[in-house]
Amino acid sequence: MVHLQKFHEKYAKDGLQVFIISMHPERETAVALAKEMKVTYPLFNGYKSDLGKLYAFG
Amino acid sequence: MNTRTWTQSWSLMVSACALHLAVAEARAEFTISATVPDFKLRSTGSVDFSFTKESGAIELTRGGQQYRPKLLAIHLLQPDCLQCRAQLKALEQIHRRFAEKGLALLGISHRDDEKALAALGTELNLTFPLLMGTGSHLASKFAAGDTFGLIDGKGVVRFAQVGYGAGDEKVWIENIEAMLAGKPPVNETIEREPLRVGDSFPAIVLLSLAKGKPMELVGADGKLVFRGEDGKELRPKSVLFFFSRY
Repeated sequence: MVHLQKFHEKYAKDGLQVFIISMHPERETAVALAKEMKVTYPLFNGYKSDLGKLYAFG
Repeated sequence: MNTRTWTQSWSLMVSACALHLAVAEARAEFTISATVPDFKLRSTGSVDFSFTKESGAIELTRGGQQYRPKLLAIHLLQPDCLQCRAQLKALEQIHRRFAEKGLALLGISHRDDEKALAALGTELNLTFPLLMGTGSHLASKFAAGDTFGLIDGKGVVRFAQVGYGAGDEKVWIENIEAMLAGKPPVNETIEREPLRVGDSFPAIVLLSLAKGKPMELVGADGKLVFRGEDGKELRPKSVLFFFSRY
């Protein structure tokens, strides 16, 4: 997350869209962690999504 | 939560991919049947550790004291990786459960940042050793981000996974119990479907994590369109995304 935040801050103005698809089963925990890490790019809730079932990896 | 199935019309070429993509990298992952090389590393707290394979059996030396675990578990990590933090918490429970039964667990950091690693150990209340591995043959050979492996009494990798997801502990426990009993592991890895460079990626239509509002990344007129939870529309030139268990 930290490294993605750096990419976001550096390259968003050049047209890079950064985001995370969170697969965590507890939304509140994931939100709290993102806040702790000072994440400002978008976070999708991917838990139980079809996309997650196909590609969830690490 | 709203998802559009990936069989629908749009296919997107994503020009930058998630960090765990299975693209060619200079460094290999833990591979099943690979033999872990001997290594000497220092832990937080400045205790010297060495790993050798003497007379066909693994031997760990910790601060001058030698012991022969039945099974070795290694977690290669980054101190600021959220996923690694979650995995370390889970591994602490594994350590407490199996240490006296013959499992030796080591956390090996890719970064030689003793301060960050020590702080992590304190914060998470970890009681197994955390070693600094940057530059070691082990880190350079096996470094693949967040990697976890189980090594048998002869130094051979019998289980390996990249990344971590809540619930992986169940697989670890099954494997550890089997291997401590002298049996082969139940699973060699935890299968996950990788993305590949060149794959067409489906549209993403999901709710935002914080506010639960719809967000989407879709294709329109051959271009990428990102609509955030505030309703604003962006047209990114490229996308960098990451599936995160945390």
